[in-house]
Amino acid sequence: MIGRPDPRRTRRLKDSIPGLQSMLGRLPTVRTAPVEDRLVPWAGLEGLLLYILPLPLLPGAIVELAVGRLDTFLADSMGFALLMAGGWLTRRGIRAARAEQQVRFVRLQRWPLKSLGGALTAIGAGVTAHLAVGHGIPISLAFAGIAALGFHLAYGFEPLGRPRPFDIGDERARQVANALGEAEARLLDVERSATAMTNPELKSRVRRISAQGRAILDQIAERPTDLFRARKFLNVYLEGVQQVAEGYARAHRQADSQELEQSFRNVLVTVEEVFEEQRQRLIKTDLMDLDVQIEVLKKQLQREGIA
Amino acid sequence: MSELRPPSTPPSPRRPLALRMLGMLLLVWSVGLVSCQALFVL
Repeated sequence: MIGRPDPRRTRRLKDSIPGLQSMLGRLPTVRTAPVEDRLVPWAGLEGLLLYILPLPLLPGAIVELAVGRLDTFLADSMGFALLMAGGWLTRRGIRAARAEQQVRFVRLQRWPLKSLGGALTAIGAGVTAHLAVGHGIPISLAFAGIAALGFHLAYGFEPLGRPRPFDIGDERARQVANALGEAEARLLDVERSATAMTNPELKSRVRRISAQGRAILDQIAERPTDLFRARKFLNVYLEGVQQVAEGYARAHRQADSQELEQSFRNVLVTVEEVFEEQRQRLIKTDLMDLDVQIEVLKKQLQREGIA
Repeated sequence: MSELRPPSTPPSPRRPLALRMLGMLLLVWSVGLVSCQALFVL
């Protein structure tokens, strides 16, 4: 399990990469907006309609309360709450679905948020039609049905029984899946930091490092026993890169310093080398295993008098 | 330990813009209409 990195090993990383120590000392980590909101500029707007449509219910409820009609005040309030909750769940569902397209190992929220949001929207429309406006049950059901159909066309209900991200049969496989998920979350943070950088060279370096990192995770997923060999990479280097990239992205927004840029560049160059080395080491292990297998096969063939 | 291969997550198919617009129109017609009715049925 990767968990928190061993501070002694992190100290070694800080010593081994020039400039990392001073950057980490200068820049504490912070969490920023979700990655998907940064990657797609209009992502924050989808589903807003569901917040706007119930708005007339709010002044309605206030006026009902002012004139002392508690039943219609409660009906308006209930409709408003249901519809707003539906909008909120839908927007969270949309965001989760978008994030899911970028990740392979992170285990995401498995609740069908968008479908729940759609159900609340339909129920909210029906309840408002029946209790707040006074329509009969058939007409209220028609309003709920039209709302559900509209929701399905505009945002889509999620299919039931979505696949689990991993086939995690045993405890060790689950550990590997968790470690990969945590490592991927760090890479997502790194990618998010890259979107905030203005220097195209540094941005592309960070993106290249992230792609290298993903390639290593893919390799570990193909052969989970590699996890134990790649533990240092997961524990120390990814965490270091994440901190430095986040710190740089934040610091250069506040002050553009050539010195900071250069030390960040030095860090990135070293990290790129380390990542490539790590990847090669995993590939070499693969080749060594293949050599052993070929040797075993040769001996078997000789023993059986075929070769 | 066998290979851990998560199912790839293809981007969810997006409906054509016309259908999405129709969906929004239906939402306006149902949710928006009942909200406005509730406001004017005071």
